[in-house]
Amino acid sequence: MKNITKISNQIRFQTCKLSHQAKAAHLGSALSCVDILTVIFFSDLFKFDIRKNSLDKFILSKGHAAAALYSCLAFKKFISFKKLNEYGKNNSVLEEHPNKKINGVICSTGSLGHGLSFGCGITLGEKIKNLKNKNVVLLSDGECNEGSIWEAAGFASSKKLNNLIALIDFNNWQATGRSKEIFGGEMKKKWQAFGWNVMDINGNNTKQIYNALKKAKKSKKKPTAIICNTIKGKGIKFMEDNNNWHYRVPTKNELKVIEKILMQ
Amino acid sequence: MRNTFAKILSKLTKKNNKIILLSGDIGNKLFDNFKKDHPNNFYNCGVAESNMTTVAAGLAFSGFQPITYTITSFNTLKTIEQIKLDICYQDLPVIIVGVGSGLGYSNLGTTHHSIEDIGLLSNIPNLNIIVPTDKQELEILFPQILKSKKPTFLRLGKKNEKPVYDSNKCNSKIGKATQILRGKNVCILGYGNILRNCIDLISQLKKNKINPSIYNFHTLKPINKPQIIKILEKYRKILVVEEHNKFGGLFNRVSEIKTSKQNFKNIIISVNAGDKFIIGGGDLKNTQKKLGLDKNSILKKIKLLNSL
Repeated sequence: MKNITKISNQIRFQTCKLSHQAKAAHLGSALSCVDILTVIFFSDLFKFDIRKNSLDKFILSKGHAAAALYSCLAFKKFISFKKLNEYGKNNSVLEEHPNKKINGVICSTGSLGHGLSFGCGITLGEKIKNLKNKNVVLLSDGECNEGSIWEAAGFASSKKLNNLIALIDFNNWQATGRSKEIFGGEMKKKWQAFGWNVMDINGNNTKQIYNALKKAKKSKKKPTAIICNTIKGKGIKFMEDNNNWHYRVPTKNELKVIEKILMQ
Repeated sequence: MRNTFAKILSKLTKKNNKIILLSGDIGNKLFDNFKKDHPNNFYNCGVAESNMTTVAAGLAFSGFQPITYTITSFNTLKTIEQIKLDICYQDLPVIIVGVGSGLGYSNLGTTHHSIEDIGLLSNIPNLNIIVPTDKQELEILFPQILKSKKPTFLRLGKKNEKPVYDSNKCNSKIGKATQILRGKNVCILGYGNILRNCIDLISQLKKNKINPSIYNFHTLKPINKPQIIKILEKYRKILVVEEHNKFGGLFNRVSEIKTSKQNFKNIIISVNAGDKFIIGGGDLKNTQKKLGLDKNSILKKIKLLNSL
């Protein structure tokens, strides 16, 4: 797991660099889920064979964290670093929300509330085929305002989609305010009420993320929701829990400070 | 039409077990045999159409040929973003089946009317829009839709539609309108079961020395532009008949093609479902009458067109 921390720092820095280069927003939201993404892509828990789409699958339902996903895909060698640097530029397929023309992206996202249903469809299809692989969907807490999330939640438990795992990046900020103030109901209880296995963890602690996912993989009947309590802007002190970084982009000088924090 | 749909679906699933039927908590008795014969090919998704639509996209990604089935209004407008982003943007072979399209559920009120669906869905790239006129044509077109593996909206009626193809054998092909009557003075273009109202007028029209041609535009998207150009070249007087809002349907498509050709001098008249919410329409017959879509109103329009 030591290695994971090193990779997550590299991905954090790469994500900040991309935001700076492309002047692209949503950096805080990307940083809060870097540890989750790192465990998904760089631990021994899942096997991705994205070109054939035959093994485990990952859907970034919170598509606005694309920069963090693209950084993972580059470190994973699904895309080249040359391609990664085209992020946000004119004529690049690496747009600010992911589309499936990019190696490693199986589902185009960006409008919130779609990825979980898509994951349900894939998982149901694989259940019919009697396949045992796992499908992981990463949601944001703000995304759980969407009614379609709860349609999918009820569907998944009724169809016993035990191979489906939803991670909720609960950084308790959405675009314009505190998630808990904008949308009511207790996150953990809601998923439980919809018939899911629920775990509640520190979503910036890679060991806890690893253990929760390992446990989720063993579920026999229910789909699993892992509520990952995270910090928006995690890893860079002056960004942490500061919602200005939902839209703000780091300056050249700030990027130098970030490099010092993360890469030394 | 829905009974025929259930029947042919059972038949086709016997040969193709990739077909998965997703229902929005509808068709209880209708699909009983299908469920019995193919228990792994049917899933009731509940009254949650948005999720059902994206689940279908996920199933299609996994190599299946999913069909979503519920009342047209709910399967199109409630789900339009899912149709756009999850099915069409990702170009996945899902068939969206709407039952009771147009005014099929006229007496259930505006919530159940679907007269804007074609206009809205026509703006979504990659989506084919198919409207069978009767059950015989549905039987001919449905296997073609499955074979095409394209995102498709299949706009069905409800039940007990009178046949349009009667004793004539239907040989419709996706992408080309079918001429169902050869005439000369005027040309009627339409789709769906409303064409039956036009066919019923033939003998009366003949008494008035009007011999219309009738074309059945079962494929609204992709529209066959060369075929429309040929029709516009051949006939000066055109009547478009559709159980759809006056905007966004076949009348718009034909008119825009005419406008693109500066030398075309056609007169194009349309009968349609207007651009108002319909309250107190009652049954289909009565609603059609109120909107000018009944036989008598169409007859008057054809006579007027012929006199111009």
